[in-house]
Amino acid sequence: MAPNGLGTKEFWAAVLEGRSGLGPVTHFAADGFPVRTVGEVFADDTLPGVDPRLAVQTDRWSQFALLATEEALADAGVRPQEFSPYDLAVITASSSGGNAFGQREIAALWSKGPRHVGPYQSIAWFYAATTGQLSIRHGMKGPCGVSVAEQAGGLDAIAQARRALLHGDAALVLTGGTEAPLSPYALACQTASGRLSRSADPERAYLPFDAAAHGHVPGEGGAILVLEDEEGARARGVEAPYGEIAGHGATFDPAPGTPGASSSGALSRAVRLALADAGVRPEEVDVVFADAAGTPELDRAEADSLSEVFGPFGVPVTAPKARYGRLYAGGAPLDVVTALLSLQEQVIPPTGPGTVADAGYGVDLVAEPRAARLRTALVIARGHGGFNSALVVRSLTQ
Amino acid sequence: MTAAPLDYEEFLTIVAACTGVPLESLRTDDPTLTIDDLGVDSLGLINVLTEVENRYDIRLDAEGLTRFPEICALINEQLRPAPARTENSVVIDAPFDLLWDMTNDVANWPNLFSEYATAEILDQHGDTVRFRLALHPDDDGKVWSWVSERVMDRGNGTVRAHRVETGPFEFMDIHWAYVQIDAGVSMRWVQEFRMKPDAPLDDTGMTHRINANSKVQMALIKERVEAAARANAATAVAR
Amino acid sequence: MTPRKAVVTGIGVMAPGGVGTKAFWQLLTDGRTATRAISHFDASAFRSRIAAECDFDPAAAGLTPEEILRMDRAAQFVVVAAREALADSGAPADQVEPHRIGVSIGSAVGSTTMLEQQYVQVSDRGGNWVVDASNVYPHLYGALVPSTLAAEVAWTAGAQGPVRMGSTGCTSGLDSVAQGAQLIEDGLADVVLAGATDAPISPITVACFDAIRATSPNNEDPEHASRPFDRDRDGFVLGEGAAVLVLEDEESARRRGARIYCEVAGYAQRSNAFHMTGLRPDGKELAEAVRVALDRARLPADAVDYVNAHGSGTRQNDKHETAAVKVSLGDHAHRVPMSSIKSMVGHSLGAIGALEVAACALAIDRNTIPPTANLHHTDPELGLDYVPLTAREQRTDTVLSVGSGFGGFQTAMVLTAPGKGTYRG
Repeated sequence: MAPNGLGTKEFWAAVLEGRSGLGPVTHFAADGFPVRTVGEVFADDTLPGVDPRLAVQTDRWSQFALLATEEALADAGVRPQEFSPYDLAVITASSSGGNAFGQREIAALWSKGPRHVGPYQSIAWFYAATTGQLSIRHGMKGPCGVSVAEQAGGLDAIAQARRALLHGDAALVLTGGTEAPLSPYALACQTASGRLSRSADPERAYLPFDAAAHGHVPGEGGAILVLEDEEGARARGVEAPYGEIAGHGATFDPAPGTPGASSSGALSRAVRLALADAGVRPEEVDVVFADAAGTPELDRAEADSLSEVFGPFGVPVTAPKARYGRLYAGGAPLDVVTALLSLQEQVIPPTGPGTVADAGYGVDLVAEPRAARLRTALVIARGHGGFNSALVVRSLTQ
Repeated sequence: MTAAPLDYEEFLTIVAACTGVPLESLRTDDPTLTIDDLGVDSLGLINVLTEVENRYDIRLDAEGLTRFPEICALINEQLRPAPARTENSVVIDAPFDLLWDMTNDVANWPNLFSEYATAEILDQHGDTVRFRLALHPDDDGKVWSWVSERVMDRGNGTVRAHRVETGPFEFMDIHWAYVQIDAGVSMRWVQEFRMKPDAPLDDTGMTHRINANSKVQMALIKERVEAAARANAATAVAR
Repeated sequence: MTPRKAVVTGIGVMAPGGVGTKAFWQLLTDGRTATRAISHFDASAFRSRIAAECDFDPAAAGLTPEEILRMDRAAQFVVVAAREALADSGAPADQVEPHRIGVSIGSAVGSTTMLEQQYVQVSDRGGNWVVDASNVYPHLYGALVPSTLAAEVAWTAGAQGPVRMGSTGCTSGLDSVAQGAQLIEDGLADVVLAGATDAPISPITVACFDAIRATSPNNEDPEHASRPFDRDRDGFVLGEGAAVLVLEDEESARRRGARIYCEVAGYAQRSNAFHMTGLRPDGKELAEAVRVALDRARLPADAVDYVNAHGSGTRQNDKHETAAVKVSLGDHAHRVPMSSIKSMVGHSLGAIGALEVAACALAIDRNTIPPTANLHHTDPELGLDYVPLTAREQRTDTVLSVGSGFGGFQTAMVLTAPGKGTYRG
């Protein structure tokens, strides 16, 4: 579920073309907001295809996940009822919960009184709502988890899902993450981060690694993946898995104001941990899906990390999110989807037509679709406050 | 058929909006289907009740109710307007006992009130009397008649009565109070009632009619009781 | 190579009834209750107007004015608890490489208090859907994203290893301790600060539970309103607080001569896939979580010396949970004491699981079982030994702690006295 494409097929086509999903805020009159460009999934508030019984009790963010899950299960050919329920797990990421739903209910409370808060607030707003609803809808009784580490949480959730499979705690995990951060109050909160682009020009609003980078564009959506134990997947007749989650590493930046606080060291370590976990050498990595914060300081740190691990211009780097925005918990899972499709199609999707990497960063930023022999991809996600997460995705075909 | 303030179809529209259950599956002819059967869980029901409570500013206790028609009936019970009420009083310059005896001698009412043609005592035990009243024929020649029950509390100077055969009323409750004051005895009639929807008069119409008639009857009673009092006094003096 | 094992070497607690671990344990063993009329805001318009509040002065607890401005109450709680836990553990922080220190924090509702307070400002008390974004509170983004809570702990501990932030509703506490233990077991960190925090006593959260009638309306008698397992229980009493445990790799903890409270011997998380708030009375999925947790700890059901219950005091939870314990522990369920500290410190949502692990670690360390306060008339439908009113001194080597939460999540954790568990990873 991405601002530039609904459904995996349309999304992949958009990403390859570099089609933009960015534009002005249409959900409300955002004239007074210091952010003018966002990545919206739909033009209106209703998400078609969500069972109305679930629609009344879920926030938009959960609805993205419900829809993405339907597609993922169908794509995987999985019928949950054919599994033992305890073998089915749900581990998702969320960064800010049920924003629009919560705002509506808090508004009712403060403007009309406590009796105007409805019963669904208690199950729609909290960060675990999506995981709970997916578990209930699909009869999944295995371990359930929710990672809330901002943009890094999307990779942490997938790593946690992988651990559950490797330890035999589940045979199949619904994982990934979604986000719906574009309701008025949530967007207002984001303006306090100082990291949002103020540009009203969708073509110039989000330019990671570009000398003109001046913040990111927030977007909504995300991705849900079906993760399975390889042996189990093969046994049930899966012939061509998209790939494997081969390794993960997570670190944390030094505290602000302490030595090395804004340096690249901790991120480099996360990347090395992920590579070591996957058993791959830096030169075996064929493409990096960057975190691409889009602010000079954070771009610099990420570029330095990549240079430290891979050498300057040592690996192709791409950031398709420049065309649809940073989706927080939904961002990294969408990058993992893009990475898997890149491995399948043997082509690196571009960052977008308008972004020109500052040569000083030493980053080989992919600006046009680039055909290449791709076997191993690295996905990086950094969460506000200092979270670094890196995931290695590898093709299962030679 | 009572016209409900919230008709069932409109209620179901609220249920559909609050629960996401399609309206067409809520419209069932099967009276045994429970809320649960229709796919509405405890939170969905609370959402419906919260919406209705806030919309009409009422409080609902649906504990134990399992079907939507019951809940709609509960809501309508809360939504019913307050009953109509009349209150009329008169001060009668006569001894308390005389007034009490004359006005509570139901069998003699046709001689006290101008409106009653007959009063038939059906049952009497202790302070409770059950009786049938009939009016004089109306313009169409029709004789209105009904049964009431009356409980008298002489010690407290109060009477409670209600219609047993309610006729055009949904109910009719009557409360009389007698209070001794300097100028005599104050007699107050309070009537609470609600008309049936198909009655020839609505609540407002009946309120006017009772108020008008009470004045007439009270004036008549005042005249007759005070006359009796004067007669008694004259007799006493003559002795 | 023997599998790595996580042990608890430090405890930090922020709970109603007194700041710090000592006050917490005193309250629990005295069987006193910290529930009272809500003082954080004017709750007169609410159905449930009672809560277990922390008497907490952030400045007195050592937070700087800048930290107080920056942090939501939940962040303040968890940072103070983390500092106490580190000090209690003998602070190995400077002997351990920062990148070998991890963090695993949970929270059900994050920085909800600050989010609500600031919302009221920018929306003109809820009047404007399009809020005023021209001048928002500078730390508001940190409140929007609960990851801030783990980041604050990482900063205070100088952690540069893996930092996890989880939010599984009311099982967040147990799940975050479990995830912290995983970081040790998987060799990703040698020291982990694991715990949870919540500060939900704010109008929106109180209204939320009012709406579904989950909280006790016993406003006339707040001290006795939280009555788990009692015949007359009528809902849970909201609480707040935080607990952080220092988890270490057992071998390195022993090497440095650390005091070890207990081992994290096994845990499991399952879901009922039934309803976001409803529980089936049979407790089947919680029973399954208990079975798997004991299996991973390689302990039989009758090894359990004490069950630390979820015991929220709602009609349905206590029934559900009792059934789960009866199924998973069999006959032993009727012999093993089981109590709920929520009777004393209320239900602090995600935080309570970490507070309960802290209570379990102390129960093992002190061989004392905290009671279920206010339990004057055990519900005859339930029928286990819920340790009414008075703490019990008894040998406590193996503790089972269970949690259950919205979303259908069910978690079980087994903690054992040092050297008693046979955990196999």
